Amino acid sequence: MRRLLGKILGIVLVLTIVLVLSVSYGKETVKITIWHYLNDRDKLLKTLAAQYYLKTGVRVEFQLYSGDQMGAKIRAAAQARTLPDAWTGVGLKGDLSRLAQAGNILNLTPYIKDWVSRFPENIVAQVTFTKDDGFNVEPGTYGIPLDVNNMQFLYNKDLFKKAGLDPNKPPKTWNEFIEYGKKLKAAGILPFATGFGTWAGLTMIQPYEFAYLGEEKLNAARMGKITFKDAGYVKVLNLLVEMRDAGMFAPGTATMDLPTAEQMFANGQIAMIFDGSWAIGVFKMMNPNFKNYFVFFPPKDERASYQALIPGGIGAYFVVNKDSKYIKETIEFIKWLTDVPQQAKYAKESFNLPANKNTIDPRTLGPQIAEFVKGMDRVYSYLAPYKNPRTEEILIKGMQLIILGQKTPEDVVKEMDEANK
Amino acid sequence: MRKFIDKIENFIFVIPALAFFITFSIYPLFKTLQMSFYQWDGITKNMIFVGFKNYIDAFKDPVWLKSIKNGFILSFLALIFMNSIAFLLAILVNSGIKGAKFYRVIFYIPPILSGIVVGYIWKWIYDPNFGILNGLLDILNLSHFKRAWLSDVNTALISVSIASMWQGVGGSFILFLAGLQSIPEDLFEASRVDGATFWQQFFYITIPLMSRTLMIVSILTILGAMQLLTIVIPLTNGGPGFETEVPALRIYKEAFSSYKFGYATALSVLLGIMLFIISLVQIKLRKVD
Amino acid sequence: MTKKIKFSRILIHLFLISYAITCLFPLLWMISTSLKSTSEVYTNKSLIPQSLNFENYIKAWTEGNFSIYFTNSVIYTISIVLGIVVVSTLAAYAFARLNFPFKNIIYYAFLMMMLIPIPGAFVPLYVLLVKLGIQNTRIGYILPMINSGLSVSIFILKEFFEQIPKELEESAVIDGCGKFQVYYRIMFPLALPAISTIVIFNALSAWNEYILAAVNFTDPNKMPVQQGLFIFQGQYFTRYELLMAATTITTLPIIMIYLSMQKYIVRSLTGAIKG
Repeated sequence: MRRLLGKILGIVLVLTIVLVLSVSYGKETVKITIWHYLNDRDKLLKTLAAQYYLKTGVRVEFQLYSGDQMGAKIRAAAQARTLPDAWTGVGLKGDLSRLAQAGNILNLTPYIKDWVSRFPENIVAQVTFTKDDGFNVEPGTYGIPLDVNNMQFLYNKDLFKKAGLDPNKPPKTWNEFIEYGKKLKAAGILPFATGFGTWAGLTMIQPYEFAYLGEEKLNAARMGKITFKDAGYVKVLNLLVEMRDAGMFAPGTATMDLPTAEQMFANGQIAMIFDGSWAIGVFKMMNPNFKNYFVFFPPKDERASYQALIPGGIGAYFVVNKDSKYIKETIEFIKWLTDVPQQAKYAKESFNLPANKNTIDPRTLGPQIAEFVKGMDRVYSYLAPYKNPRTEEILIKGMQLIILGQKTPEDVVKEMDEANK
Repeated sequence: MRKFIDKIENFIFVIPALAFFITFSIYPLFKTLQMSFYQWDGITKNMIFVGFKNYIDAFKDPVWLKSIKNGFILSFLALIFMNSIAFLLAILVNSGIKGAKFYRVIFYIPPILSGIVVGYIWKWIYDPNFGILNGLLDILNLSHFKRAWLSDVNTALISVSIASMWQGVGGSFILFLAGLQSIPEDLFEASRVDGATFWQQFFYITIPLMSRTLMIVSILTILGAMQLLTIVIPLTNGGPGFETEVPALRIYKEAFSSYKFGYATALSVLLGIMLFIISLVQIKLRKVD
Repeated sequence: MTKKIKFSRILIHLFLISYAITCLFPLLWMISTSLKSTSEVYTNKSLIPQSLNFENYIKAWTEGNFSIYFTNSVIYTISIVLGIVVVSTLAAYAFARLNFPFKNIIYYAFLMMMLIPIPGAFVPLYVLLVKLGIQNTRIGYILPMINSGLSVSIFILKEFFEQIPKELEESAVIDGCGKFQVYYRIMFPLALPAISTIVIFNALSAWNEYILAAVNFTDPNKMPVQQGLFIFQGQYFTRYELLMAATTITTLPIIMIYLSMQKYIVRSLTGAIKG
C-alpha cells in the first residue's frame, strides 16, 4: 500500500516539477494593449505604434488574432472581464449593440466630439446608436473608424472588348446589364460571379433592396413591422431570376465564396464581379499583371422608384473597453492614428480607403480606387437588424436555390415572412 | 476492513483523472446544462428562463432535424465505406506485404493535414469549372456526368462525405492496426496446422477477436460524423440551402452567428444524449455477442 | 494456380498504391505551392512550380515568428501528451481490472464528456482560469488541454486493457507483484500499441489546437505554432505560398512523432498461455 502510494505521489511530483518549470513569469507590462485582426496590416500598425512611442513615450502594443480567434477571445474576455484597452470591432451595430448592453464598450461621444467631424457622417452613423434605431442601447458613438470601403461592380475591359462591347462604356441600366451578360455568354465568356455562398451575395442585392423598397419600407420589413411580401421584396429577388435566365451566373456561383470569385476575376475567367474597394489590393497580389479592369455603379433599374444605395462604409474601427485603466491615453492614441499623415501612410500601404475624409487624394492610389471613392456618398447608413436572425440565413440559402432554379422568389419571401414573424 | 482498504487503493488510480474532470469539465458541463433552459444571446446580461422551450423548439426546427438526418447519413456512409477500406488496409499492411512499412506511414498523412489544406484541395477537386474531378470526366469522355458537385443539392452531401471519409480513414486504420496486434500469432499458426484457409481464419479468428476494436471504431466514427465541423465550413458552409448542414455546424451557428446561445446548448445536450444512447447500445450489443 | 495468385497480388498492390497516391497528393500540392511565387499561386495551377522559391521557407519562418511558437508548441505537446498518457492509463487500468465504489457512474461520466459537444466551452473554461489566477500562463493552457484528451483515451485504453489475458496478471500477482507493479510491468508494456495510438491522436490534436491558446494567452511569446499560420491569412487575401511553407514546417514534427510512435504498433503477445 505504501509503495503504491509512494509511486503515484512520485509521478505526480515529477509531473508538477515539469509543468512548473515551464511556467513563465510574463514580460514587462505594456501600457496600452490593442487586439486586432488586420493580418496584412499588423506590421504597419506596429510601425506606427513605435512612431507614437518615440513621440510621446506611451507604449502601445498591437496584438494580432485572426477571424474566429478574435470572436472567441472577445467573448471569453468579456465574461471574465479581462478585455484589453481597445480592439478592432467585429461586425456592425447588431453585434456591437450586445457588447454595449453588456457594458463592455465605452460610449465615446463625450471623448471625441471635438474631432469626430473628420470622418464622414454616414460612416460614423454606422457605429452610432440613436434613441429610435431598434437597438436598446444608450445613444452615442461607440466606434472610431480607421478605414472605409464600399462595394460596386467591376468588369474586365479586355473581355468586354472580346465580346464586342465598348470597354469604356460599362452598363448603366439594368436592361443593358442583362444584354451585356447575354452578349458575353454568346462569346463564350462567363459573365458574372460573386460569393453567393456567403455574405457577399447579400451585398449584391442590397442596392436593389433600397431601390425597390426604399429605406423606410426595407427597414420596417427587416424589423418585422411589415411583411416582405407587402414591401414588394419579390421584385428584388426576381432580378436574380432575370440574371439566371440570361445565363449570367458562372457555374458554382451559388456556393462560391468571394475569394474564389476574386481569383476567377483576376485570372480573366469571369467578366464581371461584385466586390469591395479592398479587392484592388487583392487583385494586385493575385495577378500583378491584371490592370485592365474598372468599376461601375450598380446599373439603374427603371422599374424601381427609389435611389440605390450601396453597401459599404466603415471598414476597420476601434472600440474602447469601458473598464480600461487608460481610457484617455487610448483615445489620444487613436486620435493620432487617424490624423492625416498617419492615414495617408496607412492608405498607401494597405489599399484601404482612409476614414479621415481630409486624406482622400485618389490620384496617388490609382483610377479604380478613385472610382470607388466617388461612391462613398451613396453608401447607406442604416440597415435595421432582422427581427429573427434566421431570416437572413433563409434569404442567403434562398438566393442560392433561386440561382439554381430550385426555388421561386415567392417561396423564399414566404419563408422569410414565416421566420420573421 | 481489508476489502475497504483494497477499494480505496483501487480508487487512487482514478483520482488524477477525476481531479482533472472535476476541475475542468464539471463547470462547463454544468453551465451548458443550465444555459439550455434559458434564452441568452451569449454576451449581454439578460438571461430569460424558458424552461423546456429550447428543447421543444429543437424538435420543431426543420433545419436542426435536417442536420441530424445528415449526421446519420454521414455516419452510415462512414461506417460502411470508410471503415471497410480502413479495415482492409490494416489487414493488408499487417500481413507483411511488400512495402508495408512505407504504407503505414503514408496512410496516416490525411488526418495529419491541416483543415486549410484539406478544404482547399477538395474544393479544387470539386470545382465545377477548373476542378480535377470534372477534368477527369472530360478526359474519360464522360462529360455528361459533370456537375457543380458542391453546389448541386443532389451531390453536395455525398461530396462532403467523401472528403471527410478520405481524411478519416487514417484514424480508423491505425486503430484497426493496433487491434490486430493483440491477436496472438499462435492462434493463426494453430489454425493453419489444422488446415484453415485465409477466409476461415478471417471469419473465425480475426473478426471475433476484433469485436472490441470494431466497437471502438464504430463509436468513434459515429462521433466523428456527428461532430464534423472543420471540413464543412470551407467546402459548403452547410449549403446549398441547408443540404449539408450537420449537427455541430448548426450548434456553432446558433451559438455564435444567431446569438441564440441558450438554444445552442440545448441542441448540444440533445446531441450528447443521442450519442450516449447509440454508444451504450453498441457497448451492450458487443457484450451480448 | 500461380497465375491466379499473382493476379490477386497485383490487384492488391494496385489498390494500395492508388490509395497511397491520393494520400500523398495533398502533401505534394502543399510543397509545390510553397515553392511558388505569390502571383504564380493564382495563375499556375499545375503541380510543378515555375521557379523554386526556397526563400519562402525562410520568409515563413521569420515572418511567422516560428522560433518562439515552435518552442512553445513543443513544450505544450510534450507536457500534454505525457500528462494524458499517465493519467489515462492509470484510470483505464482501474476501470478495466479493479473494483471501487461508483466505478460505473464515473466511467459513464467520462464517456459523457466525450459525447457532448459544448459550444464555446472555452468561455467558462477561461472564466475558471481567471478565477484560479492562471490565465495567460502555460499551466493554465496545459491543464485543460490534458483534461480534454482524457475521455477518448480512457475509452480506448480500457477496452485494450480488458483484452489482455488475465492469466498474465494472475501469475504476476503470484510472483508477489502489487497492483501498481502489475500496471507498470505488465499492462503498460502489453498495451503499447493502444498507447502509441493515443499518443499519436493526442499529439496531433494538441499540436493543431488554436482556439483555447488564443483565448487564454495575451502574451504573444507563449503562443503555439498555429498562431504563426494566421499571419499569412489576410482579411481579404491569403498568401498561399508562405502559408503552405509555414504549414509544411508545422506538419513536419507531427509526421516525425507519428514515424517514431507507429513502430510500437506491433505484436506484443506471441503466446498467451505459454508464457
